[in-house]
Amino acid sequence: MRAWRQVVAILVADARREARTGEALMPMLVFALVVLVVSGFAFDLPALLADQRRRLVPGILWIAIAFAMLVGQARHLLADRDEDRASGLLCAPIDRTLLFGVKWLEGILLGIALQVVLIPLAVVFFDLDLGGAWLGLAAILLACTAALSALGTLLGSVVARLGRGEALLAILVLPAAAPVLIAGVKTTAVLLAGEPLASAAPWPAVALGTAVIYAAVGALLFESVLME
Amino acid sequence: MNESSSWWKTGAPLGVAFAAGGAALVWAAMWYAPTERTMGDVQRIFYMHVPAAMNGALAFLVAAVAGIGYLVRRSERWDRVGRTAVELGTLWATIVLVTGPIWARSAWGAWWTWEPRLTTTLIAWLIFLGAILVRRIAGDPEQAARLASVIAIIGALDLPIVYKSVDWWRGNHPIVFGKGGGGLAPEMRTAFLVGALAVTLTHVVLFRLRYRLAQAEDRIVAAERLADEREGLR
Amino acid sequence: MREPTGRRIRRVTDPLPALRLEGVSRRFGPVTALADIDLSVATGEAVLLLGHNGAGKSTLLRLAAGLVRPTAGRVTIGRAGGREVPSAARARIGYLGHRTFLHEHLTARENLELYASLYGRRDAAALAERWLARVGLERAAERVIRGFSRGMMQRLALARALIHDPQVLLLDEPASGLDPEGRRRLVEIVGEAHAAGGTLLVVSHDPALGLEIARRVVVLRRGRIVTDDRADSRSTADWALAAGGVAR
Repeated sequence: MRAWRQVVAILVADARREARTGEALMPMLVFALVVLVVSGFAFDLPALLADQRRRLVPGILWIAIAFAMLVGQARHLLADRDEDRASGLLCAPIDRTLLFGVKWLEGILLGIALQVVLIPLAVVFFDLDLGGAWLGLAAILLACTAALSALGTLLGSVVARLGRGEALLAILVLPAAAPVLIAGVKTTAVLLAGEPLASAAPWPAVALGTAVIYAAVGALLFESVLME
Repeated sequence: MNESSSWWKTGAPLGVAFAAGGAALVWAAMWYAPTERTMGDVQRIFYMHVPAAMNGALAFLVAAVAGIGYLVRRSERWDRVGRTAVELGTLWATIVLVTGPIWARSAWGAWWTWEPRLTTTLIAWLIFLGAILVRRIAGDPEQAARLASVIAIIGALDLPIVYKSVDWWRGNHPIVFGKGGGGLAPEMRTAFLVGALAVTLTHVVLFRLRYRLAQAEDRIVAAERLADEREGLR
Repeated sequence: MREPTGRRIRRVTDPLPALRLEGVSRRFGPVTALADIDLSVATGEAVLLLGHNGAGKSTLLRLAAGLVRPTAGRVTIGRAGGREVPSAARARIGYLGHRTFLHEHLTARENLELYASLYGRRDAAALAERWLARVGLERAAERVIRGFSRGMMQRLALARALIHDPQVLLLDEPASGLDPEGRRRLVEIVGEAHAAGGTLLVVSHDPALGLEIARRVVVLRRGRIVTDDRADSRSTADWALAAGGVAR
């Protein structure tokens, strides 16, 4: 009961802060949008046939999502450094594993908020036909976002402790996130080709598996990052 | 302290063994081992490449174990082991990443392929480079040790997942030993063993040197602090 | 390194102290911040912690608050103890450090409600209301604290540290940045908490402040306890000198 009240209190406080400043979500959205637009030029998309475009779009989409997540989580976790609020949370009688869970969830929520805007924009820009694929797409987006957020939360706390931002976070997260990105791109490609989620095997399972493993590792190591 | 123990302490015996091992490796790889039939002389790089890869994997494993050790015990000894292992692992991985493409260019016709072992080595190299970077950025030695330990642990846990993922994604690395492998001529096997021994010995020598350097680094930090206190600056 | 000798080291052996450190050491890499500290603070006792910059005062407080893990030794709060402060025991502690732990984009009231909830209090709204009045910030309650002065921030931080009615107060330079009125309220609030049976461990550069409340003084030097005595055994000026150590 107390844990529930603590979790809600942190979520409400962070949501209020985000609503008043937009310090994580705004740069995420703008950054992802810029990646989409630049990709249009970089890959000369208008010159390509629909079939060729479909081979490029999953990669563009995942580059936009992965980098925007890094930007958002770096901003979000760095904010707890102000006035040493991270220590304020550590002082309170909260289980540190639960604390990781809250920050992980906040990362996922930021990712969902991003994708809700980004995917429709991608549909418009790249002339995609999601058809019946949207449910499968939502599932793989969620699984990969959960995996990215787990890595981002743990390593983002490392970066925040060092007072650094998204550049260092990208160096730490992206190599480790290679399996997640492969899984995301492969599954998205299958879905955009109009095939069912099941034919993307083993990639949906890889996405889900990495989400579970990274979250478990993050929960285990989080306290070591925060505690002096 | 008697003569022989102080001679041992200089590390000279290890240095001698290291030099002998290096000479043996060059001799075994360049003259003793026969030229491989299809790949020619380029195959000789194998006597350096594979031992370096094995020692790199070993170093990264040691780094992760040292990371766990440090987080549990918080002792400087584990930290120094971790500091040493991460840097040496990165060194071996660099050698693997340089020698691999030289061989691949001749064997596969391309400098780089996205096959699992090559790709995983590259990712490992990047992750552990991140650990070195974190250590350099960190403000105090304790924070450096703690955060670098976390990265080393994540890195080592992540590598099997990376390997399996890339394996599913792409794959074609020559399997020399085990099932599917062509096996080795007896002289090649001997040359490989000489190479493995020489490289591992080098690893031991470098580990010892780097560890002692880490001890010296720690002593300097402690001495500076003490001097400040004596001067009344702290 | 020789320590000044001839000072009596007193060890309180209360059967159930509010706060007890046993053989506690903390090293930061090769640097020793605290060395083999034995300190027992009885329930209801008020202790002033003095010492140089870098003597280990703040580390000792952060360690007792559960923010720093000792390299060796045991920390016990009430009945619960171990290598580090257990989660449940942290509910009994109120810690005020150098930083306020406050969210600059939330209002004063929202900040207090957040911390009351973090400590599992159901009556967060009522507690926030009461503490806003106690620190004299009721008129600024609905303002986002970004524009607060240093003194107002410190008042709010004091309320934040005490809102869950902790039994053990760990106060690190609590008067820093406070205006005279704020300082008066600080002494009043801390005095009331102490009178109600609260245990105090206060770090202050300014012995005058601590000695208004504390009955016992502990002096740290280079991470070790060098003096542990009754507050009235020396004058305020002498305590300031004792804390200064090398400054003769």
